[in-house]
Amino acid sequence: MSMRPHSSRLTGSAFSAVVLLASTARGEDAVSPNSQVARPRLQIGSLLGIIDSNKLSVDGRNRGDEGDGWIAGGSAAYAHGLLPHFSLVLLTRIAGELTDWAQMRDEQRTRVDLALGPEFWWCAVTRPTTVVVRLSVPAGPTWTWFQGGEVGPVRERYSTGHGFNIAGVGGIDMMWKHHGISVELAYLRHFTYMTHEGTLVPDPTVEGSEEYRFDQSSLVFGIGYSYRF
Amino acid sequence: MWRIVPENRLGERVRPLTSQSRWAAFRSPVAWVALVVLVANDHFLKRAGLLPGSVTGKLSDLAGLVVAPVLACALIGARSPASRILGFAAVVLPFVAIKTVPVATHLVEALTRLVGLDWRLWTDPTDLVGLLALPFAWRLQADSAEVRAGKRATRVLERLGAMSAAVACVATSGPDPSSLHTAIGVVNLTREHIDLQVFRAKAPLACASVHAPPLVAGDFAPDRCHELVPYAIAPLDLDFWTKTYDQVEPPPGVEHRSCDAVLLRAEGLEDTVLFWNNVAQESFDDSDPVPLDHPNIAYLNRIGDRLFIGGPAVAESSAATFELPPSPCKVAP
Repeated sequence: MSMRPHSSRLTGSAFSAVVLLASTARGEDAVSPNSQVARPRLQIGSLLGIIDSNKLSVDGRNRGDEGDGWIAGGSAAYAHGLLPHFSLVLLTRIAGELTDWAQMRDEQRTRVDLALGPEFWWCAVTRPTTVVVRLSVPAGPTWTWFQGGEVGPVRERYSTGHGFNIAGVGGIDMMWKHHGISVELAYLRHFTYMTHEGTLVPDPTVEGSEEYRFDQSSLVFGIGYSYRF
Repeated sequence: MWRIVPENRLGERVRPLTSQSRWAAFRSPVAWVALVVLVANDHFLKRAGLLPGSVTGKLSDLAGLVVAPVLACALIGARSPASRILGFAAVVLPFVAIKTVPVATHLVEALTRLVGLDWRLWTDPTDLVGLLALPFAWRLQADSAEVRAGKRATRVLERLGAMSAAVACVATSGPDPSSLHTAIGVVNLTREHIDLQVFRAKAPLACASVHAPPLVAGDFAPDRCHELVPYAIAPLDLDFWTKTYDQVEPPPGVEHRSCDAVLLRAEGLEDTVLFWNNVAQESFDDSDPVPLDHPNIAYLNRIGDRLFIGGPAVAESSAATFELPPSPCKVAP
């Protein structure tokens, strides 16, 4: 009989410990990444894209499409969490591009993008790997360099191209604590303005210039390394 | 996946007698004949020009529709009729789509380009005659479904056949690219179409001098017009010809001029006379990019609204010192 209260206390203590442990565990789960501001993320990777169209207008007149082509290069991005599910992403891309036209003319083309935009994310899985799905719409300035050359009787030169880029990016990050892999698919649009100059090779006094405007759309696949602070 | 390999009484590992070879169809002489026909046709007969292009094309489809479905069935390990249907459908449905729907043809070409293959496909419903080979392929695959794995040499032969079939199916060549044979051509390097009018010397010129004889407006007559798309070559000699499957020699009876002169006219271009003397024809494959510095080619490029012509190095090019009256231009087909 005298053991009963003691036994009862033991049982009660054990029960309390189990409840405490369980509630602690539940408490950890309850602090879901989806209810928190995302930790800053740094990302670096490579990209490969298919140019879907590259429409050109010369002095405001439509000159058709340069044809399909490829984009290959690298990118780096920094995302800073502002609110749960919402971050701000700053990214840069550097890539070479090759269209049918550029290939026929042996033109080397390089493009650099800088872009800033909102990023919406959702943490789909937390254990054992954190899997984050995100959508972003970065936009910003673009610089382009075309390397011209002697094309038939005309020597061609291009000014540095300026313009802007905008993209719709869907991505998945698989993170193991601080390190992870990112995979992205983006629909990327570039608007580029540049001056094209031509000089007649046999008579350099004959020259002229035109204003080029490129409207390029492409589908870009990217894969890279992510670091979460 | 781990497999238990039985051992004989001496402890040596042996293949189970009941095992079946998924590649067994390539033990059959029928498969090998189809494979040889496919390779020989794609890589020798088409180029040799011994048979008309339409015949070699059909032969390729017939042989291909024996080899490809059998290979597809082998790859998926098809043994039951249902899985065999799946293997055949994987080949036959795209084939029918390519041959009947132009969008499907272009889509498959684009997809193969993505993986580095340069397939040239044609929408041609008459190629569906190749489907006649399917019953043979079906019989071949059905007969091989129950064949037991053979000896080592047989297994090597089967795998060799399967690998050759895979290579033959992937590395199939389209018809040989056609090639233009011309002594003097002109290429449009601008971004727009150019309507190019060609006037030719009415009578053969005296070819004693390497330089152009004095020419006047009355020496030229309208010859032909070209709607010159960017990077297309317009031949300027009289006896140019295009090599195709069916045309492997220069056509007989075409006038040849050792030396000739033409006057080129286009909007924005100063009337330009080209004269050449004893220039051999060169070949330009349509699958190769147009060379940007070929001595037999004149290049048209634009500065502003004006067109300029450069080259060709093997011809004399000069602005016309006379005026030709306007002439109606009917673009040659």
